[in-house]
Amino acid sequence: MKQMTLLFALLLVFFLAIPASAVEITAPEAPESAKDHMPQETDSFGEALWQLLGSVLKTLRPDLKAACGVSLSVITAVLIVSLLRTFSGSVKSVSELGGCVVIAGLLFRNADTMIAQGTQTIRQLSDYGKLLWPVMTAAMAAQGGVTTSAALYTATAGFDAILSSLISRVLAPMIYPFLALSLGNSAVGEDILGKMRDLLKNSISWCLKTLLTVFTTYMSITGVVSGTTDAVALKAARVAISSMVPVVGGILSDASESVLVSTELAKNTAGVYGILAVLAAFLEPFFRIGIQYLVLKATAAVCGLFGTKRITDLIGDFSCAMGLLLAMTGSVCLMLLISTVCFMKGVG
Amino acid sequence: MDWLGQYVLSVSAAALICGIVTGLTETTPAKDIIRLMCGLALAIQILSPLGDLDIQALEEFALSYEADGFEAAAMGENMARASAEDIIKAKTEAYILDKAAAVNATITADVTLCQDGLPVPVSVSLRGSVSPYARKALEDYIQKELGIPKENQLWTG
Repeated sequence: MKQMTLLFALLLVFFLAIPASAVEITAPEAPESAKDHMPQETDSFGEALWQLLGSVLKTLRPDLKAACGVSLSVITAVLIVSLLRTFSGSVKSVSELGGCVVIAGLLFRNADTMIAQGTQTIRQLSDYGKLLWPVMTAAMAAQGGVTTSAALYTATAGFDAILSSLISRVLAPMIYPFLALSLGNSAVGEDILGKMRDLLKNSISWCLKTLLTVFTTYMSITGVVSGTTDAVALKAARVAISSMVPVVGGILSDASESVLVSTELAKNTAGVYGILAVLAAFLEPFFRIGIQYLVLKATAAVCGLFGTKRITDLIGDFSCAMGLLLAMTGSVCLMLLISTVCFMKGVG
Repeated sequence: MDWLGQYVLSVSAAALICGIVTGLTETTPAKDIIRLMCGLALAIQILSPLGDLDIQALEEFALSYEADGFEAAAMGENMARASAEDIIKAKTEAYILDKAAAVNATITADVTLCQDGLPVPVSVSLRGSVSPYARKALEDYIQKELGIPKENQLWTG
């Protein structure tokens, strides 16, 4: 009897949950790693964002503690190297070389973990985008933006494929040779490998800047050009409706208005959920890498007071590597957010 | 990643060879020409991946995403049309029943919409026992106000 009641209740919920004639558009569920940070209510974007930030910030305390621990170890190592250098007489360069190796050893593990986490976040964001964009495309097309939505989808999916593969296969792994060149440069003492190291760093940032600039320019132009085409098509449809028998014209006009309103609502809800899901997946690793970046910057500044230039530069290069990683994850997230907002903007 | 390693290695090797050659010929009269030749060789080595660029593959890559985009857009368009059709069908049927009630007729109506262009009502199946006067009045209403010709109004029952 109990089972029958449960079955009946389930069937009732199922039938009541099916909207009679609303366009059903829902954003894909947030990635597994983002679920813990997803706000309960996503109706108000501002409130949801604050909830999300609060939830993410709460998880960062252990990372800050660990980063400070590594920073203290590095400062201690630099202090010891400086003392050894002062009292070592003729073998100054040996102590400095040893110091470089020890400091690189201390910092490398964290850097490696962050690179792996950054790459994983990029893959996760890209995978979520692949689920979100078809939904947003369908929603925009349902509003009459058929040409615009298809063009936006093509640009977004294409650029995402290029950017995420480029980052996870080329740019992120390029941080390792960058760090190796920095270590080599600091260990040798002469600025032999400095140019090569700078070339790697500049190549990474140039690639990211170029891709993002091309993407935003393409999205802006596509939005305007295709938007005009869709606006003309919508106007033509309205003219055709208004020239009909009054009663039929009225029914058609009411129906299209009702579909437009329900689609607009569904699209905005899906878009807001999508943006929050992207941020929930992105913010925690971004802040983690950000903490490493800031702590390393501060460590380099402190070590600059008593350490040698070679060692301080090496710490600075590790912080620069974290900066590059921040730029990579940030670029992918920015691309996702820009594209979602473009889809949400609607037609004409 | 293999190609990147090979590329970096080949560029580094070329740079090393060029460096040695220019260093050895520093004092010879042909040093400027050798330096120029080395620069050109290095530039060719750096730009060599551009030669392997497969334009056809790039075009196919873009076209595959374009096709996916149009597929998703078509899905949205179909969803919106189906949703609008549901509303139009329900409203048109409600309108006919309302008019039938006004002439004291109890009927059921099943409207068929145009599938090619705008989803306007093109035919209707009407079921119920109606007086000749009420039937005539309803037929006129449907033809005049909904644009469904009398030959497309099918009466049963």
